[in-house]
Amino acid sequence: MSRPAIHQVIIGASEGDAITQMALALRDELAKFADSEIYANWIHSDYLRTRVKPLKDLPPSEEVSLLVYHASIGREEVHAVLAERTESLGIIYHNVTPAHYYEHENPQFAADLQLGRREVTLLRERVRIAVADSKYNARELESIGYSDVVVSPAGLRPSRLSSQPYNSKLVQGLEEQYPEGYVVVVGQVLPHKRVEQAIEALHLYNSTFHRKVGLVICGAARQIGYWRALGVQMRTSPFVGIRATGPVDDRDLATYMRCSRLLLGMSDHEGLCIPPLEAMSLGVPVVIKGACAVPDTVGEGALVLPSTAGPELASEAINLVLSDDDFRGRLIQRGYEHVSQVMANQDMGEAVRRLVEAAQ
Amino acid sequence: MSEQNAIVDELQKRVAAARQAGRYPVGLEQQLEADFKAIMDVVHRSGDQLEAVRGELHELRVKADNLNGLVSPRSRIPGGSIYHRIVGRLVGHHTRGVAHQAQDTIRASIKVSESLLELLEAQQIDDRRLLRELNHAIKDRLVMVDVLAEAILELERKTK
Repeated sequence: MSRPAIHQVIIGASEGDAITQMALALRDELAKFADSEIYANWIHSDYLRTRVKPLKDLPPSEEVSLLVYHASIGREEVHAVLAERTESLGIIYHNVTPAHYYEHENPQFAADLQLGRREVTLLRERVRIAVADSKYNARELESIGYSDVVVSPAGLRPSRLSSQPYNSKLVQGLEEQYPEGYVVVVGQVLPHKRVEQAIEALHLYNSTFHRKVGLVICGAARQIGYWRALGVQMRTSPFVGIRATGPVDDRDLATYMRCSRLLLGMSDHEGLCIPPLEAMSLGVPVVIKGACAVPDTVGEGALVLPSTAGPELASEAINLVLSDDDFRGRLIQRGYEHVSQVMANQDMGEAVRRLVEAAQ
Repeated sequence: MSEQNAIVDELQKRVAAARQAGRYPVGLEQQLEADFKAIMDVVHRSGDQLEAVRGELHELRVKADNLNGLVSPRSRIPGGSIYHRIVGRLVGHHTRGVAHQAQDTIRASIKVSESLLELLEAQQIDDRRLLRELNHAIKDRLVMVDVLAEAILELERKTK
């Protein structure tokens, strides 16, 4: 019997992007049983061009046993390709951010998100296997009629930053800028990530407890209007010394995380949320709002605030973690334990086996 | 109750106590939320018009970059293109020089326009902030007037 061909489709491939990383890891596993490639609408780096192929090079349907689509946002051009295909489909659902966060600020992006949600429903009849990277995402798929959803964060590597060396020049600069340390926020700078609440929380913490703890925001700013609004807010928050790094490579990201006093997450919507797991693997305590999939993802490894938490509660939580050494130590320990557990349960086997079965 | 829940419970009590003590003024989070929404609205509104001007400036820059001072050899008259080529070669040196001067002038104008745009953006943001501060100050005064009126009524009640 000839080897099946199981190819994956992602919207965009970029270094440091969680979906790209997961697709690459899954491809390595699938390649043991099938011919397997990744195709993307955009490929953002020369390195990835050697590992990911352009979507226009996708072989005809007759030559593909199973096409696995990573659903996270809709794009007309990708949807048009999927709609024309006739082979069996698999879907890996990474969650689609609700469009209402962007309707006012960026209607085009909101339309893409709406298409992303509609697309997941439209493709349902053609999907032979559905995989969700978290229990929360599986529940969303089930709510729109999918059944027998495999839950597997296939390709997730929470300790991928552990092997990165320090950037010593960066460490020196951070020590000079923040003698009392800093809190780090990691992720794309987008409205639903509520970065403004992180700034407000630090502002309250510093002004209430008379501290000078800084804030480092690590991540690409994808929405110019939101970014400019944050700029105005930063100028009116004199109690916080803020460094916004933009996108950084893994070495700098590991350095920013390791040197921080804690990782803070105030996001209102997360389908999985990888940065807190990466912080835990580096021994950094995590304080995070328990929105959507976050409680499932971080378990007991982080201090999880209610999903309605605002800057006041976050400020008190920051104070607790930074002033109570015993609690801080316990939180770090629980973080290590949780990541070890995630790694131990990290078995792509089931997802791979089911994908290969669906391709037969 | 798990340790997580107990800690969050304790933190919520601390927030309540801080509110009671006035460290977190009543309605602070709602105020912060409203302030950020106001910033977003300003950025969004000013962004539309100023972004359009930026787009036009970008188009102007592209057009300026394409200025080369060359005479087109195309002609509708048979054999005319040869004539255009000859004329183009004869005057090309001068027309290219004029085109370069025009390019420099347009680029300098674009730079000035961009600086003005940045000033406008900063001014808009400052104006809105000033308006918000004035709005807050007026509301504070109104509250004070209410308090004083209450106090006068109370005094009147006591002196009667």
